[in-house]
Amino acid sequence: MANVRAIRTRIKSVQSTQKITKSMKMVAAAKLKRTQQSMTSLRPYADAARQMLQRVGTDPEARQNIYLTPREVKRVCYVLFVGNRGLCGVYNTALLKYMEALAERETRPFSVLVVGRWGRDLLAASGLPIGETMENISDAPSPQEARTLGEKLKAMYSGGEADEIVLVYERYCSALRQEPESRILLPLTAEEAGVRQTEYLIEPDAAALVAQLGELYLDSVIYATLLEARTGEHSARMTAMTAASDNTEQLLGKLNLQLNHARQAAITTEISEIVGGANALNAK
Amino acid sequence: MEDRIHLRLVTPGGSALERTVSYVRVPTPEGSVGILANHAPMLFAVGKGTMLCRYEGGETRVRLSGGVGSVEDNQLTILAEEAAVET
Repeated sequence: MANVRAIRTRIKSVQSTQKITKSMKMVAAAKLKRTQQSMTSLRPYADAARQMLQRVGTDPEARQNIYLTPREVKRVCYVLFVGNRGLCGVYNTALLKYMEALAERETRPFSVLVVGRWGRDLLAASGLPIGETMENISDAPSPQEARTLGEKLKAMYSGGEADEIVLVYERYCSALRQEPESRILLPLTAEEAGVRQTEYLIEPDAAALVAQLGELYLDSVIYATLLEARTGEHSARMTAMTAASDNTEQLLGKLNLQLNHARQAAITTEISEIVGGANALNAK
Repeated sequence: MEDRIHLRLVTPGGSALERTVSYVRVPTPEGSVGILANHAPMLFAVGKGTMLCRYEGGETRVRLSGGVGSVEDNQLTILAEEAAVET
């Protein structure tokens, strides 16, 4: 049986691990709440932007817009939304696996832009053609941060660096489930361009309006994706840390039992030694 | 004038203003546009500037950084990247 001192040290170390996992869980919960709130507040904006784009998108003049016009795809850019940190279960690794599967199927030349701080070494080892990494996106992203990313992607598309931009991220199904998913950001699809029911007056003209609206819509999509990715990350971390805290709880129970056994054994030995000693003296 | 236009000002951070108004003056890249009730359906670009909304008993000014807007059936929706309601 292990000695009492060793078990006590073990208990202490498990206790401090538990402190860490518990506080990580609470931090994740707080951040999750913030990103979820942002997601809810963004929804009406994103919906209205999509509706407006659908209304104006059928205009032949608007159709000329660079974002609405598909062109021959020579280069694809995948935007991979990884987390900022690890310790969140399979969140990041599942996404990386999904990205690798996408890369395997991709026949056109492509590059990957990574958004998030996680796994620089792992990503480098994966053999994906990583062009750039954006590490300065916070845990609770603001619209400004999304706009910075948006500007970069729009510049890549209009500058001809990429003819198709695909977002790869973990879709937030529920607090307990996130699923890797990809969607084409640019060019905007026919469905996004929509059908027009009413005749609208357009100010100042369709081309200018759709240019402004297109940018606004893209920013909202990027912001929504960013929030969805972060919300998923926080809830994955919360789940992982809850499990870890439960595990430490169980482990502590076991260790306490062991400790009591060991202590009792030590006491029993001591008593039997004293009794044995006393008996020996009496026998004399 | 009766307050009949339902104005909704939405930003990425949530709804910035929502109320029924009688008149709205919106800044566009090519000058201001005034909107009264029963305006024809219109989609427009919103420029940088101050939006003025009038309603019974007062008016509100909102600084906008640019965006887009639509009006249809007295529903006026303005999407702005940033909006600051002046008090």
